[in-house]
Amino acid sequence: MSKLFYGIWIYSVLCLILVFLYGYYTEMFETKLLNYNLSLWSVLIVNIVLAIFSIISLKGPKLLPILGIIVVPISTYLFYASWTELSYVYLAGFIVIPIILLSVATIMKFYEKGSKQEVVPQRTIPTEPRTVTRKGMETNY
Amino acid sequence: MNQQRLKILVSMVLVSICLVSTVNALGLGPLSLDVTIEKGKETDLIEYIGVLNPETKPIHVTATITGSIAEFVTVDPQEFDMPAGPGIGTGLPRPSQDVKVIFKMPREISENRYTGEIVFTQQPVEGGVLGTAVQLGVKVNLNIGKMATAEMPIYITGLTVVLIIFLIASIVVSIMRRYHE
Repeated sequence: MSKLFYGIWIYSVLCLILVFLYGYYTEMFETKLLNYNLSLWSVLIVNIVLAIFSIISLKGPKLLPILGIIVVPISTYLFYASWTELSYVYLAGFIVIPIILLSVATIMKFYEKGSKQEVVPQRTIPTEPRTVTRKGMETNY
Repeated sequence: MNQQRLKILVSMVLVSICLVSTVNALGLGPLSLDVTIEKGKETDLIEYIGVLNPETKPIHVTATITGSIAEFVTVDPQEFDMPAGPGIGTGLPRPSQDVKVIFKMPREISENRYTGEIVFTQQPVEGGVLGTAVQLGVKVNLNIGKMATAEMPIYITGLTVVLIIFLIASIVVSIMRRYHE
């Protein structure tokens, strides 16, 4: 869970960087480089990061890793479509995905830690070492 | 000496007459267009060129585009007829035609400057006295400026802010939980 939580956090930061790059049309997405579909490659790399973290975390709780694997192709398509079709609606969808993942991951982390804290540690009552007296047995009537 | 001055005066008058007749063949305005667009952004821009007919006979005008701007620039209409004008010095309005110059720039462009000319050719018309075609051009300088910045709608900005808040909140929650452990 911890790995995936930080994985989603890194993924969200990368998504944020992509949105800023989109907004300012920096050299990264510039004219000549567009021929190499750099927008597609950049978003693919970002989503591969999420996919790797999701696959690694499949051993634990299944909900978040499966959600992560499902959103990888959707997120890639949304960003690429927003760039090629110049539509901000697709970009909005692309931003919503890390928000959902981050909120689910945060809630899960919160309750995971919270449940551990609620467990009352069993108190061990110190007992005096029992001494078996064999007085009675020793008495002879 | 006086004869020489007279010769100069006569030649100056002749030159000015020649110039006046050339200018009046077709009226154009403006004579140059300087357009600057932002780089990395699809741009549709419209400018207008006014064409006047100062002649006392009808004319037919054809517009052609030359130079490197030709792939991005179109004119509308490309050909048109103009009725006969009232002539020079009458004070009456001359027939005019606005020609739309459409700049359609794709996002992918390689050069930083494109130049060319929109050439208006005054064709001879039937029944007119005009025998030769007259050409006048409007110079076009297309400059590619700084990188364009996207004007993002408010909901994109809002969602970005929400994402930043969630990022901060998740880290705060994580640190707090670790502290409580």
